[in-house]
Amino acid sequence: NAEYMGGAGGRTSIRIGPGSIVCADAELKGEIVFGLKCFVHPKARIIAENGPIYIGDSCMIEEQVLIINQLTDGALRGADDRPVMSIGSHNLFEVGCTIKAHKIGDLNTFEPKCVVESQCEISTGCTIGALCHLTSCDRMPDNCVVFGSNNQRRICGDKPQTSASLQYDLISCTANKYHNLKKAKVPAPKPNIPAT
Amino acid sequence: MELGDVKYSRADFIETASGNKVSRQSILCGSQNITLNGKTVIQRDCVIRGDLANIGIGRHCVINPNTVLRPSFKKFSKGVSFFPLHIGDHVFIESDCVISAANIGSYCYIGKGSIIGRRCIIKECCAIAEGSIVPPETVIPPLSFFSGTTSAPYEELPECTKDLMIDITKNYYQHFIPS
Repeated sequence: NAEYMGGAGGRTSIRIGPGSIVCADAELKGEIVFGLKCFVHPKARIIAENGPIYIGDSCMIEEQVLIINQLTDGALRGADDRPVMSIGSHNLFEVGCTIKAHKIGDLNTFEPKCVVESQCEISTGCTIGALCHLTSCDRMPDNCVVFGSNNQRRICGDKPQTSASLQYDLISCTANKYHNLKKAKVPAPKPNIPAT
Repeated sequence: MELGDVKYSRADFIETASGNKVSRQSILCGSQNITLNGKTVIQRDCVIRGDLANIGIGRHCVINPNTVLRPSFKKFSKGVSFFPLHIGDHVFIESDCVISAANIGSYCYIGKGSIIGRRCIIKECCAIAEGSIVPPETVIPPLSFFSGTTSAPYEELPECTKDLMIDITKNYYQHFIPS
């Protein structure tokens, strides 16, 4: 909590894609764009300090997660030449993780209290274990699992998948009852059922 | 040895009829589904997600600041749902923990910063060391001491652990007084 101090540069502008649900208790600062069907739990903190954060579809961001754009020199530059932090789809950010990586792909799982620093680029299907610390790495290989107190890695044989979208289906129905929400203005698109 | 008095300001805590003391700065979602059985203390900045599934917490429990109690998620053949979370009596949970267990037995001690994985079952009188990670679906037998991650061997706790935990939690509650 001590790392983030001071306000985000620029005004707060949040674009919430169709079907995404953001709990009002979550702290969102700066320019953040959400895709479809994301869910941001209460007490999550997404801070676009040095530049915008673009989050893809079906991301599940749990409590006490800190996603912060503190990039000084990102490969991607948005409008105003500020470094962009881009997060892919179907990612599951579990309780208490700290994410500063400049680019995250799809279908990754970040277990509780892991820390991913800004030099990292995470590709597809990775699982970063609980309490693991990813400091200096350029690009994680696909399907990599980081585990253990020594941050060992191995390549996982399974097809990448996360429970993010399954969880979304469950809690999106009841979220209205239990939380104050910042909801998307457009509801989630209905699945395309081709006419017979 | 008696614990010293821990004073709190009346404005910061809500005290219920059965003696539960819940901090106003904690977030209890879905409070209809959260059952506190009496004389439980919930400190500030805790997050208790009763909206996902039922959470039952026993008597004389102590939940220290910044802990997250979050029911776990289970995929059945016929679909998915969130599992209820049950915590027994006289459980002392230190700060910064993440608890997704299905069941925590009575008289347990959960050390600071530990992560209890999904659907774990922790039986009575266990102690979990500081900073340990209990992997998902682990069953921890009674009277054992779990530390580190999977590879750490179990140690045994003495049989007086139950009385020690009753002592600690009751004392904590008695000395947790409004200023």
